[in-house]
Amino acid sequence: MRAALTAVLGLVALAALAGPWLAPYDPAAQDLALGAAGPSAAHWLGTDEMGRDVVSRLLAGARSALFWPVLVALFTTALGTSLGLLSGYRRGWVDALLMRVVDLAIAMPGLLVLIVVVGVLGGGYGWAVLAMAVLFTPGDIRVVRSLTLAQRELAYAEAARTLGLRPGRIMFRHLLPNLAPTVVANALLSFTGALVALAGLSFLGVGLPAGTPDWGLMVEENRQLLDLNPWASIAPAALITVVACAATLLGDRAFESMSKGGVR
Amino acid sequence: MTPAKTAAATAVLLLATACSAGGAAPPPADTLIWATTSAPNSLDIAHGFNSASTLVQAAVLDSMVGLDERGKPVPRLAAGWTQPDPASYLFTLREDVRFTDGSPLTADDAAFSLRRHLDPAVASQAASYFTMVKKVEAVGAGQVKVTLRRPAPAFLSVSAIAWQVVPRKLAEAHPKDLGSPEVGTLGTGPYKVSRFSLTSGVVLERNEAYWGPRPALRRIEVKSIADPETLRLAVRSGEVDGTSDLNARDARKWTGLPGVKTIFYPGDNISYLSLAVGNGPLADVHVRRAIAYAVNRRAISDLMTAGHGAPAAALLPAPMLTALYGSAPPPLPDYPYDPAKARAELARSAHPGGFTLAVPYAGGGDTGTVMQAVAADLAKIGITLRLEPAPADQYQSRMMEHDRLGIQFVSLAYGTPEPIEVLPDMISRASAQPQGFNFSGYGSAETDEKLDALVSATGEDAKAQVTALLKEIAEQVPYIPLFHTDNAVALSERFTASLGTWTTDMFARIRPAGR
Amino acid sequence: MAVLTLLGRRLGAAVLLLGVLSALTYGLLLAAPGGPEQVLLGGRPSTPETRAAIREQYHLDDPFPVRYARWLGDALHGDLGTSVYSREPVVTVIADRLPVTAGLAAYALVLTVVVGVPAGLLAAMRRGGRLDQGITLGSLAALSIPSFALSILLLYGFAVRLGWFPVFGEGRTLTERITHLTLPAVALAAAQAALVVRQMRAAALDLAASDFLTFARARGLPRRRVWTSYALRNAALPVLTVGGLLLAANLTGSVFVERAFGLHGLGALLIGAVGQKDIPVVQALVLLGGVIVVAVNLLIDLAYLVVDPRVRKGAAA
Repeated sequence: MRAALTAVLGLVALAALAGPWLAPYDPAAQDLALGAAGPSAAHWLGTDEMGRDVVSRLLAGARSALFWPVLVALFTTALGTSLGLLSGYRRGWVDALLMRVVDLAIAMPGLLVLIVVVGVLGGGYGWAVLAMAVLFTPGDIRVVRSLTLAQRELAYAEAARTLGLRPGRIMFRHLLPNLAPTVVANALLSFTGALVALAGLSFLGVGLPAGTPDWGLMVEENRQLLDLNPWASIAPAALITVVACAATLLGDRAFESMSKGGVR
Repeated sequence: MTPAKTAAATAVLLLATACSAGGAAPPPADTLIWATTSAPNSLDIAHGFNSASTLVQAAVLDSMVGLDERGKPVPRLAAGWTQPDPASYLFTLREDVRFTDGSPLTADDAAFSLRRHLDPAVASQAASYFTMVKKVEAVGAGQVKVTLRRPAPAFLSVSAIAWQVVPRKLAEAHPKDLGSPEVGTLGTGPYKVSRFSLTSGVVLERNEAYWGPRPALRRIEVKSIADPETLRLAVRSGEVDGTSDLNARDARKWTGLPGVKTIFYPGDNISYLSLAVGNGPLADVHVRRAIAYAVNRRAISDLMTAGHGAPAAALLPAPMLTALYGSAPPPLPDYPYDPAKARAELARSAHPGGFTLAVPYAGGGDTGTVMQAVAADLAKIGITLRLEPAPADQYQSRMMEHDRLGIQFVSLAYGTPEPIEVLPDMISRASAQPQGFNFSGYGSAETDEKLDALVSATGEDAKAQVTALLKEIAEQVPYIPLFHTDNAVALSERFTASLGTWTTDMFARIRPAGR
Repeated sequence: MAVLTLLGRRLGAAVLLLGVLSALTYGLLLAAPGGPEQVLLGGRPSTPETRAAIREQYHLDDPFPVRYARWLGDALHGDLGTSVYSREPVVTVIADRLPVTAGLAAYALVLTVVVGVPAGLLAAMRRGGRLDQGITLGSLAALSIPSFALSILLLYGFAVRLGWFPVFGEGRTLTERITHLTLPAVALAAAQAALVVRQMRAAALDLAASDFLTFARARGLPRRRVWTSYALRNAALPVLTVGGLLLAANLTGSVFVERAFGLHGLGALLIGAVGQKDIPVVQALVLLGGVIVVAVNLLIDLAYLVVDPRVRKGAAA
């Protein structure tokens, strides 16, 4: 099972890295005369309205479909973990202040804020990605903090303090490895959330500019073609779903195996 | 019952109710379900001068003047008019016309209905139509006198669009929210409003006491479906009978729908590129001419209209050109697609090797497609457009603020056959201010004078003046006309319609098929 | 007393949250290019006099703090202003659309609970079996498919191809409303039901290992009885929490579904209002979203007090 999951994610990652070279056609090459055609020997999943090859666009789209969610996951995990560690380890006013902010942020109607921010600022996909990462972070902070609170009282942490190690060292060298399963699971969760949510932005017309090869955008742009070539829209939707499934399962497994193993 | 069984039972129950409701009886033949992509926001043209709102307004409210199928002003609520002098009109009101609440229409109502557009407190969206109006007064019984600042032949045509008549009492009580869902409106038109909400839509019932020809439809429901694809599916499933919110460009997706016909007719619109002449490389006329040669208008026109439109020869909507010149338009400087000539023209400019220009544009929709095609064309002669996508509403806002104007794709639709409705938008210095439509910034005291003279010109004189201005635009190239597109309507085969470019009262032109 | 302290503290937090939210949104909307002018001018040529009149009427030339203070003052007096787009009072605009979204949210929540809880329990009962694998995989897929993609597929399959359901709109009578909202509710509920299934399954498995269930089994109680009366009650708390949060999320998050199914709910309103810079409407919606989140959290806490004697005692102490 694990092998299968890794294989799925590996294949998709390969497409993201080498997609443009693997693609049988130029993903932007139009054939207006052909238009939206169903699957054929030349075009395995048919073509879209502009006569562009769906397989090539899926391969080329893997990059943008994965890159941004990975960015969100990295940002969220890095910031969430460091602030969670800091808050849980230092306690005191740092903790109190951070927790008030986190409470406030978690109480915000997230999607609402995202739409307002993206709709108003617009000016590029970067803002949407940043806004999403910021919205995902408070949850991570809270989880990491509560685990840190428990870990800092354990014997090994006490020992490290007695040895007079610097707090930064204790936090990142000693506590962090024990939080690893949660951190990895969090990162994968953020990735999945961002993958699905960013695809949704295309649907609302605040995502990537038209014509960019991207899975979410392909679902949206090609849904008018469900009569002519359903694959143009169903295939990218299925890919998003499969990747999200694989990432979630991998997160579950990682969490289970690593927490059983007890890294300490 | 186990939880699983309960769940299954619920599902079955839901499906059963769904199926029984799905097979509801079809609506009566004289009921039309119409859909628009945006809901009508106001039944008053002062605050709802947009296609969805004017569609409903035209069914409920009468205007003083109408337009015939050639775009000529004809009597409507006014039984006729005279011109005591070139700058004034005396309208005689039709007799025995009543509003749908039974109160009689008076000359005072008609006069106030025009005068209110000039009141800054109303902040009417139609105000710019009536800047030539100096005074409006009710004279005696059933006559309205309109005095203009100076002769303006276009006054009658714009009146056909925007001089909708409402009761003075109602309009005076609600300068800001007449026509809103809360206040509603009252008219003398072929239909009356039986419900108006931004969510559940508009329901119109036939005005049985209408003074004019009896409308064929008894009931019209107007619904809004924001998503164009959901709209198409609703028409396809027969839940909606018709819509005019389809692009000629998407015709192919509509023409195959079973039980639905598509109707195309020339639209009073023009799509063009605007080149900001103020500074940078675009200030050089040779650069602008090079761009005009380099852009493949035929290809863009085909792409954007799918054969339901044509490349534009001059900077006026095609129906205006036809109304003015008939079938013999004057020869104007032309820039047929020719990369070699484009390069030669560029070589004569201050940027012989080409240049790079950052161009903000709306990433989606028509603008996105056209700008990408233009960028590809210009790349062939060494001009690199660095396209910077932005969300559509934001791009629109920036453009209207005249922020970072460069090369813009603009598409404008008009309502009358009068070139004077278009040209001041394009080349007057007043329109070059923020919120104005002169995105090129082209214009001078001299052009303003020419426009000024055109306002009062008539007949051959007007024709010659329009020709001169079009020639100047074609020579100086602040704008590159791209294409005209047809208006498109999708309509269930249960109905027939006779529609044309100057049709304003669309619902009155639709009737059940076979009657 | 415990309840009063809780209420007091929550009220303070709620006021702070709403204050921050409203100031942030207002600031963002003002900072954005363009204002309500474009909507008011209808995107048409306008005269300088009209433009000046509009700037005057809507105080567009005042600095941000003045405008925000004016809005806040009115809002505190219960006046949320008038929609720039429709010229109706904002309260009317929202009241018009609330029933659609509330109906959709409630319908989706019912589906979520009716499908999610039993499925989760079933999966836990048959841990490792075919049924468990099926349910787990199904919930995983439901969790992973973007709701707009699911909406599109449901719409095309069940409304267009099979013709079982209407394509758009919300219907007028109760039966019509239910048929119209079925597909959207399914699309909205899918991911949430999946979450509940996972939560329920995990909670039930945790409990299965706990002493009191082992004891109940040892007493020879029938398996079904053990699960429904012991496990279900004890798993109720986390599910209650999730359910409440989902309801809040539904009320603000039905944007995609409303657009795909042509529903005139709050989500569709927000998208439109943001595009039109209809500040009073956006403000009211964001505040409403905040109030709902706060209220739901409060209700959850109160429910904890009722359901769990331990929490009740702890709070009293």
